[in-house]
Amino acid sequence: MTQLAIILVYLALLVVLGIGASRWFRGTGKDYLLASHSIGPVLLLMSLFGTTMTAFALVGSTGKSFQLGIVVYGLMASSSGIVHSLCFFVIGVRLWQLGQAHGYTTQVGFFRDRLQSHRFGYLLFPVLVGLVIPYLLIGVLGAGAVINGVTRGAFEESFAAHGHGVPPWLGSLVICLVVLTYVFAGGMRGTAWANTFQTGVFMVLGVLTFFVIASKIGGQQSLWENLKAATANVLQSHPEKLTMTSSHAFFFSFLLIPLSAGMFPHLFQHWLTARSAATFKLPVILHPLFILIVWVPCVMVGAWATAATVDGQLIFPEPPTNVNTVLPIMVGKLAGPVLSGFLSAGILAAVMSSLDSQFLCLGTMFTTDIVQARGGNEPMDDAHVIRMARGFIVFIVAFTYLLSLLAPAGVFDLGLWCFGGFAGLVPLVLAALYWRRLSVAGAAASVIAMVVTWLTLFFVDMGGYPPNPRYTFLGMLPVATIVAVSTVVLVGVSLVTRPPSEESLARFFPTTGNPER
Amino acid sequence: MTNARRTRVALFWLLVATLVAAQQCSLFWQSGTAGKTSEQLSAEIGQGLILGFLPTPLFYHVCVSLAAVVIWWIGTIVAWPGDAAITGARALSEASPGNRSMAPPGELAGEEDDS
Repeated sequence: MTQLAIILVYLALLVVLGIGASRWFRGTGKDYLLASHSIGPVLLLMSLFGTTMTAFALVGSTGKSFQLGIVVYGLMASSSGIVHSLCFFVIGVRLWQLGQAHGYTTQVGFFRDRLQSHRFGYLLFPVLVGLVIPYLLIGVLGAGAVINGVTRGAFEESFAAHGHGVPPWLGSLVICLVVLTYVFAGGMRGTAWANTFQTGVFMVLGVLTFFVIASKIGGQQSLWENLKAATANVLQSHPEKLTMTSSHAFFFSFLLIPLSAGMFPHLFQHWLTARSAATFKLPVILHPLFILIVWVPCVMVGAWATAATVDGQLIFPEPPTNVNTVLPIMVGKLAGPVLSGFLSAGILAAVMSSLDSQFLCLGTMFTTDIVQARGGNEPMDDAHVIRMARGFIVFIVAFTYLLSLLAPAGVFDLGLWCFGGFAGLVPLVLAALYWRRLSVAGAAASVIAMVVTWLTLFFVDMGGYPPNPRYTFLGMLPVATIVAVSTVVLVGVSLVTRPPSEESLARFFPTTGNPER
Repeated sequence: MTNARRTRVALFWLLVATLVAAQQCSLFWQSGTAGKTSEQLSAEIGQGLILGFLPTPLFYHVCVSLAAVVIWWIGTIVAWPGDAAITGARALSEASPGNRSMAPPGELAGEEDDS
């Protein structure tokens, strides 16, 4: 019960923060959606990091490390440290400059202008929303699993089917409502503030979790001895969890997954909030370090969990059916009720710091790309725009929540499919920024090819996760095939179709034909 | 862009490519685990624990992450795209009247065949 009380207090604090941010709200759609381009380096660093680190990073990585061992860090974390910063550097800064110049609010707005095609927006919009939904699902599922994991045994009379803890459906519902409340109250400013606050919370508490769990597993006097003892337990019973082994092709395909950050709609919106291009420098430099700080503890805790005991009994005598619960169960079993409440709040902070940006971004996309784009030259009332945004957000969140009630996959596996789709759109954004010859036909064909390849692999080839070989295609994750097909189609079709007009290109490649030169 | 800057930018991207190659390097991967008993594997891994608790392959990837911090820091000094294109962005800003994304169907230039 103590854990639950602490979690509820934390959630109430977030709502207050969102309402506090609303006092600085300037009453315009631009301020609500982009915080009036006023976000500085530290806030941008924290909000970009908080947004990219989801339940996938904490709950998913720990669960997957429980299954596969420390190789998870090599597969996802060190690669993300390189590739995410690369996306900020190569895509983020350029899009920010063009956004400042032309006043874009969404990706669809940029592509419509770059390709001189309104219809292209109607093709891209549903694809982006369709890919954001599984991303939202990752957070919603993760939140439910965390609250259930740490409250197990709290209700002696109720919820027997859920280990006498808060049922995942209820935990997910409460988290959705809290995030909706502070996003609605504070808009992008509230989201950036909440993101920064929550990123700080989950980083500090994440490291604390690592040391607390180590000391409980190790049972020694000093911290150092505890770390050694926790690893020694794994060395005795599951030494394979402390190794890295993989096929080169499979390992390489994981390098493509973090490319997805280049096409996350919510990240695009965060990029546009930056005060200047120089604001991006801090996130570019420190993002890999922040990933290290979060992922190393999670991966080690996942490996330790395979051999961890309480009172001489293994915490996981059998692998749990839902690996999303590994981290919360470890926290619940090994930390005291007060600390466990705080640590759970930290995990939820990571989950919510992504959900909020995604919620806000969906509303922005709907109002900008559909409602306003179809509204003709009539200027729209800001209050009406915000109402429409909120309505669409509620609709998508309700839909995602209902999906979460079905029997879904683990958040890590779900994330790989979702990120694979976004990565398949990265050739498009790179071509739009750096290749004058990209045509609207090439862009449309590339998006369609991505969708068809994704759906084909998903429905024909879906088979869980390695070691199940059906999950891979040609020995690699589906993302490799998706990126390859969308790139080949984009280049091929662009080369045989009519190029964009010189007048249009001059607006994107202003001085010497290439803005980089 | 001057020749000196061009060289610095090229060297920076060479560093990034090296970093990616290092991340993909299988130098510390476990090979041939199939024929080994759990005890043999345990003894082998135990010898390679850094600071007594961090497996060598994980330590290697931690070093890759730290190297990424240094290389991206160098990139913001020698190859920052914001410096190179700021003039162009201002020119664009002057040439562009407003938010094109809000333009209704048919208003975008050259869209006669598309709406």
